[in-house]
Amino acid sequence: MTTAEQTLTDAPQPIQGPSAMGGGRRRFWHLLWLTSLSDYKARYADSTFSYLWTIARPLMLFGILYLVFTQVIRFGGRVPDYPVILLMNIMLFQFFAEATNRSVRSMTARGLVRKMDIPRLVLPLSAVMTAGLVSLSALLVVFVWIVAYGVDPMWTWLLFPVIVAALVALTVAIATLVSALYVTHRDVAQVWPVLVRLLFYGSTVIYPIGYLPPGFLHDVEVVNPLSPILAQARVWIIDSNAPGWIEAAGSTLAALAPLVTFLCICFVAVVSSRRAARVVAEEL
Amino acid sequence: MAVHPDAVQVRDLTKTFRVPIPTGDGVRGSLARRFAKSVRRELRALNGVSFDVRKGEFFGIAGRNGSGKSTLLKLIAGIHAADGGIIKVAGRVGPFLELGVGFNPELSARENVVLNGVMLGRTPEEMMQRLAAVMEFADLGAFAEAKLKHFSSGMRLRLGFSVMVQADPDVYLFDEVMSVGDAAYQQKASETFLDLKDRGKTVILVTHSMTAIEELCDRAMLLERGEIAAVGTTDDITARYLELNREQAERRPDGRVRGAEGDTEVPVSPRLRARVASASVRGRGEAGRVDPGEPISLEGVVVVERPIRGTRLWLELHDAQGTRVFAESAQLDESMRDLAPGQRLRVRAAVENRLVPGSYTLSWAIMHTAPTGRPVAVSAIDTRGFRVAGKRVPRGGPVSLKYEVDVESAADVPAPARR
Repeated sequence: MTTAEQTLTDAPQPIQGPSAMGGGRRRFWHLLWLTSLSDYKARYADSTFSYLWTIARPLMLFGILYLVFTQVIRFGGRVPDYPVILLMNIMLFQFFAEATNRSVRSMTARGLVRKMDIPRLVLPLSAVMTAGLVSLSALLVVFVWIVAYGVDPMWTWLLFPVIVAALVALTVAIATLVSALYVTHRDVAQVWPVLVRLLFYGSTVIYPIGYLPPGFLHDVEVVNPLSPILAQARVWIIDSNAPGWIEAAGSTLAALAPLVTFLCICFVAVVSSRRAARVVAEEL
Repeated sequence: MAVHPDAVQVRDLTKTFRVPIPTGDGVRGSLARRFAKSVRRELRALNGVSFDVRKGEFFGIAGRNGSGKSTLLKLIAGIHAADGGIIKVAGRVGPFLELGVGFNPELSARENVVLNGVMLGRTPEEMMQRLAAVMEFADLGAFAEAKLKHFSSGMRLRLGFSVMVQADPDVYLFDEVMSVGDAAYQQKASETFLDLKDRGKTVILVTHSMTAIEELCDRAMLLERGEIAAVGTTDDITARYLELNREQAERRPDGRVRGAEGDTEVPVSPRLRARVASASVRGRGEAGRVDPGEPISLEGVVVVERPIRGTRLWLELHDAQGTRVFAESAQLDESMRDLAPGQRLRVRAAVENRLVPGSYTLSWAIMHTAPTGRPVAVSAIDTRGFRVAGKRVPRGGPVSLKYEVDVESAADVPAPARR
């Protein structure tokens, strides 16, 4: 090919091949939004109470846990504002659990990647966004519940977007990681739900910070990136007198442990998802 | 303004798959797969493939199963990553490897159209504007809000096809789209192909159908074992393809022949009694070529290896799609009824030729009469490809029949009542 030919605007250009983000930013967002929205619609389309389930399910889970931890294991009664804290934590954790659990198989779902040059990252991100849409209505319920319970409005409520941003960042990183690992290691689908359960008990979802005695679960809590998010949510939204994350960790250095975990997750996620993006169509 | 002539350029394309060798299911098998490098076998799907497709060209890719043609299409579509070589494409590619990719049965047709269109590189707004056109083109005008799960598979196919056409990519990639769907869909597909051709669209078509290549394509390419066996005119490629199939058929031990697209349905005895030593099909001139109207002559030599009782000759003619045009089991003269081992036979047959130009195969075999009275082939079925020379008539059948037409003005005929 001569140089003159190459300068023509309609000359063939090298194609990029399968990748995590390829195909243009606009197409990426459109695909992400449309697949998330359609998954959301499709999921509730057929059940009788359809969208009501987005609220009913976490409420029912809350009901069970509330009964268990106030009437069977009676520590809930000693924690101030326990019902509101528990409900808020469950809603936040449900988003994380649902998003990551659904993202595990997302890359291989429906064999899409074998038929279309869809940017691979759309698939786990779409699982996160669908979970986000499900959580929106649940979030509304939480705020109604908080106000009805009698928590006074505080200026720190304005910091709620910070909590959401941190939670979304963590969820996206883990969703990317587990979906990429699943491409070459199918065992992830068996292991991840168990790990989610571990994170549920090894974080501050059901008991407040500082409750766990030293031991394995306590160690998990200390490095778990979910712990500071939930701890700060409690301080900023419900009880300004509760201990914040830095206070609870003892020192600023110790408080950074979850951040280190988070950065490690991000690094592995980027490396593995790049690799997975190229091979996923062949590994189905 | 100058226009670059090429729509697609492919240079030295190489693709190797690492295929797991079966190590058994269960923990031991999968541990072996994971940790022992040797349990994966390298499978070279494409090896140094280079070709160009011009703008506005209909380019056919033929090849037998496993020749690498679908892999090639997936590389151009950006679905698989190449191991080596370069692919360049001018503009947007519309991969159509399966109809209605990513369709969600729980959503309405409208939502699926938008989603599918975005996958093909359009914006949601553009697809909403084209929705009516998509639904109309698919003959599904009234069903835009119906859920896809209530559609028949034919309706889904038409919808997928319609989205593809309305998304209007610069380069269309089709994989075997003619061999699926109901009659209404196939009708739609062929009309669309002709329309795309008229509009000067660039189309790459992977197919087993030599008719599709002959009727639609400007040029074609034949892949064999991941390499280009030939690039050229559609006539050359179809002839080479049928030839390749014949070579393969001869290697098959059971004698059952896979024609272009279908098995012959002659029962073949598991215990062969005769061997075809050589054969050719011709008109009056060179082998493999017959002029229209010229009798199709078969000449062959057969060696008898075991006694044969009630000998017959099987003749069978297929067109390029594998449709049987003619089949006959011919009784032989009295002296040839019973044959002894070691006997050599010269076989000659001449078949009347009313075939239209195109590619065909002539299959033949020696038969005996089984104790049940049924004729059964006792030699391997021998298949020879040949071409009837000339320009193929699009949409014609396989044979040309004599006909007369008489249309005249008839004012005295009363006009029938309008229904």
